[in-house]
Amino acid sequence: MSDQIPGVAHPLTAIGRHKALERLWGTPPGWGALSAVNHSTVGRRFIITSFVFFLIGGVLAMLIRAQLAGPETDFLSAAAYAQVFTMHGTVMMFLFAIPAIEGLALYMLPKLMGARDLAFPRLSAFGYWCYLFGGSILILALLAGAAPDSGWFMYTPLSSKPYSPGINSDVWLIGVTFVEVSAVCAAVEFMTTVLKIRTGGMALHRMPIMVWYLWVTAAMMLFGFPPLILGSVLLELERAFDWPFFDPARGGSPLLWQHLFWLFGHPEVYIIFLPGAGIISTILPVFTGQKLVGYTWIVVALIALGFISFGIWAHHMFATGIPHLSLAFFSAASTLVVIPTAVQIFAWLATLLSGKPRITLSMLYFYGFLSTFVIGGLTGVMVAVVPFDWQAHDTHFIVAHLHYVLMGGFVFPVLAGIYYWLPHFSGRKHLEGLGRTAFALIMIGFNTAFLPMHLTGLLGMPRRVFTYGGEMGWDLLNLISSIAGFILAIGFALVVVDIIQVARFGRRTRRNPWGAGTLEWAMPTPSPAYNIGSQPHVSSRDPLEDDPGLPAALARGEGYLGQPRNGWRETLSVHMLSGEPEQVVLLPGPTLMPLWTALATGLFFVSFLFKLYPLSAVAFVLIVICVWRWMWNSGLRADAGPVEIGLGRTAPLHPTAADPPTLWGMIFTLMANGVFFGALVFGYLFLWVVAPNWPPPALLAREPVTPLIVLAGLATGLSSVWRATRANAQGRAGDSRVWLMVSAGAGAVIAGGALAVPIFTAPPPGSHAYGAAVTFISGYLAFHGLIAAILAAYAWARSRDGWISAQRAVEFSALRLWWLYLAVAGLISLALLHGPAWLT
Amino acid sequence: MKPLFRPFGELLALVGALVIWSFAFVGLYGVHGTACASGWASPADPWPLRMVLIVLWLGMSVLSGLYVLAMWRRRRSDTEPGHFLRYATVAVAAVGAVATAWLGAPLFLVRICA
Repeated sequence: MSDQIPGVAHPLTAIGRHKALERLWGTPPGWGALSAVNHSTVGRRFIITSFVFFLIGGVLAMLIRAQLAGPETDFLSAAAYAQVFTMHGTVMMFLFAIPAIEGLALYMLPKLMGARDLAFPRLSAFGYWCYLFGGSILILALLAGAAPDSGWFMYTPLSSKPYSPGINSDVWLIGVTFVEVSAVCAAVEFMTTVLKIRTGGMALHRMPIMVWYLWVTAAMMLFGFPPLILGSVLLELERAFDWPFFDPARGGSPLLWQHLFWLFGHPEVYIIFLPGAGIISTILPVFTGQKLVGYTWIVVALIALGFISFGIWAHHMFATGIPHLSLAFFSAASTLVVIPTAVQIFAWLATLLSGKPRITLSMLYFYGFLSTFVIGGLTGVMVAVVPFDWQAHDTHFIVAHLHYVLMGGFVFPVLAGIYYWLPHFSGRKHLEGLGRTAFALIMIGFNTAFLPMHLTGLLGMPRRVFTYGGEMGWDLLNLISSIAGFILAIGFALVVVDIIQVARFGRRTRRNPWGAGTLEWAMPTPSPAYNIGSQPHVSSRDPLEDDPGLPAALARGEGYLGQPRNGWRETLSVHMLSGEPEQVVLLPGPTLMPLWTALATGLFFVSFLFKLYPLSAVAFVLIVICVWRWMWNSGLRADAGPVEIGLGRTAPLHPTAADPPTLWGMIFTLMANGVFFGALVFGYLFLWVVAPNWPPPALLAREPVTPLIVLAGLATGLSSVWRATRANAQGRAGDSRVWLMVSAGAGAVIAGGALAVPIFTAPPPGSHAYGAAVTFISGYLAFHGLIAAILAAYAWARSRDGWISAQRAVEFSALRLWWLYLAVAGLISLALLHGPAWLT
Repeated sequence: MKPLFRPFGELLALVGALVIWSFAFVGLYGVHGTACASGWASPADPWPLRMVLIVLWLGMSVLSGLYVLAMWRRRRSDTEPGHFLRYATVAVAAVGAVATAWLGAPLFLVRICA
């Protein structure tokens, strides 16, 4: 980034501004495209890749339906069928649905909020590469005949080493965790972006409703994914090193996996549904000519959904023998979650009834969504009732229910959204004929395939069986489902053909062809890399409705940041509640560092998969080097005052601001980390209370040395970071660096003290789940001490090279946050590690 | 709270009652599971645990009710975002209070530790 401080910029014409901004924000040609970090480019890549995976998942579905079309079919062997249905679920959930949402949010969020990009463009690019590489591991394994085969939720002990001795389950654990890294990155990115990177005047109550939906979704991703990442890590450790977290003979419990999986898995349903509902809430007012009824109530319902959906994870575990009263708590929450969903549905119906609907293709998919999702929701209420669930559990009734929910709640709204935003993506408008034929085939095919499947399930057909006998009476229903499944596939194929032909041959359309009021339509279509010539100051939720001349005015530079300067990629950052401009964020340009970092991360995962552990250690060092290099050039090397931002205002540059986006990125990262740690504490206590063969045969040796070393490290590290911050604020950079080195040393001491526990005092991790848990908690603490040391060393190097001053000190804020987190997690860890030994 | 984080505090207040609901949920589930697994309670002698759970539930319900009241009585803001946030906070708090109250229904209907 340039160190130059802004001077006076030349006024530009609209065309001149377009050219200057395109040069600044555009994606480099040729191989340079690999260095793209622009949200439009990365978002498009996410969306296209997710739909490629969707097609792969669809082919797998066809194989399933071909196999089940008749009794005693030998089209697929039992082993091949297990891989096919496992991969169908895995691909659809982890490689299609979530990444499609991420792609949609990556592409749309800045546009909806009148911004130029997201808060952390390089993180978006890194997330994309992680997703691509993680997904590719799974698909390559499928092609090699070594795909996961234990079902998409990988229940232990089926996925444990004795029952899954090959590499199949490892592929799932490694590949999916790699993809989940991408999801957590996206969650941090979206949380920060919505909080801070909006256009001027966009207060909370003026945010487009889609932004609220994506914000709640991001929060759910932030809290939902870490438990599954923890579960995957624990299961992989069990498989790789025989640490028995899930083996009841040695104090583990298969139910722990189910808890960790569904702590993610049920919120996941809403993570998928909410963006779909957001699309509906966006398009409905446009095509009815009526403002969305109950904006505030929908926001309230979303927040309620975001919380309550976490309280129903065990409703997937009604048949596991959990005490009835515990099940009843989950049943109560399951029935409760219907209400905020219903609030949205009634708001949509009210909007529909008070407006004059235009029957476009998007609206057809809306009607398809409404009917399908309501059916899925009602069968959801049925299975939320424990006695009914015991009858229907693991039958094709559940398969039908989940497809009604996911197709209705996600795929139909996404198709509605695709046709709504297609002119935005392509600058061209579709012809409705082919699209309507596809819609009819999809609706007929879907309902004919899945409606009878409820009956197949009620007649007793279990899910995941690779064949069945003719005497069971399931053959006609299965044949109908299979034929209809192929009709459904033809419908989707027509959608693909339709989209390709629109992109290639569709007629050019004017800006804002639907007459919408939100800001994504204020930019040319297809949108340029910089989105918008200048950023508006908005005073309502529908700025284009208030002022149809706004797009032209913004193109003339009559908003914020209309004059490009110093080769900077600038976007506004605002007060999180009022939306008043607070700072100018300088965003990074194209770089290969996200790609290199993702490759190093990939090397780490793949080497682990093939048990090349020394190589994993090398890969970890490479990751640290890459991240260091990545972050090094961010910021300014000289202090700077406020700069002009247009509309007669000034604002500071983000490296000199009190709360730059980096700080919020760190806060949200630590929140996700806290959830991971919370899930770990839950797992440890769960095993202690519920699992058989506890208390363990041997506890930690009772000794005061290692806990005192860690405590001393925590106290020294915390105090030295605060002293370093104070010295820096007072302009004593030399003293500050001394304290930073002390802090780095304290981090190393914590790491050493924590590692001493499993080496000297703990029972072997393979002997009992207690030993495994103690070793894991110690490793967690050691890892965080190590990161604290690296962060302090990084701040030291930045200070030495002039990137830090009293005015530019975000590194200190981030370091203080990390140490605070480490102190809390460290004290809890010490209590968990040493408490039992001292109390018994 | 530092002025820097005060707006974020406002956002956290928006979800306060649902956080109380979360604690109530985890508390009821955790206490029941622990008491049953440890042998402290059994279906044959359900009342001590049932009373503990009812007290816990009532306590959390009262807390969430007080939270609604506190949010309702908070100083009214003159700004548009302030109006919106206050309205939404009270509404979310009410939802959280109802959710916490609803959570207790099974305590009177379902057997302990069965």
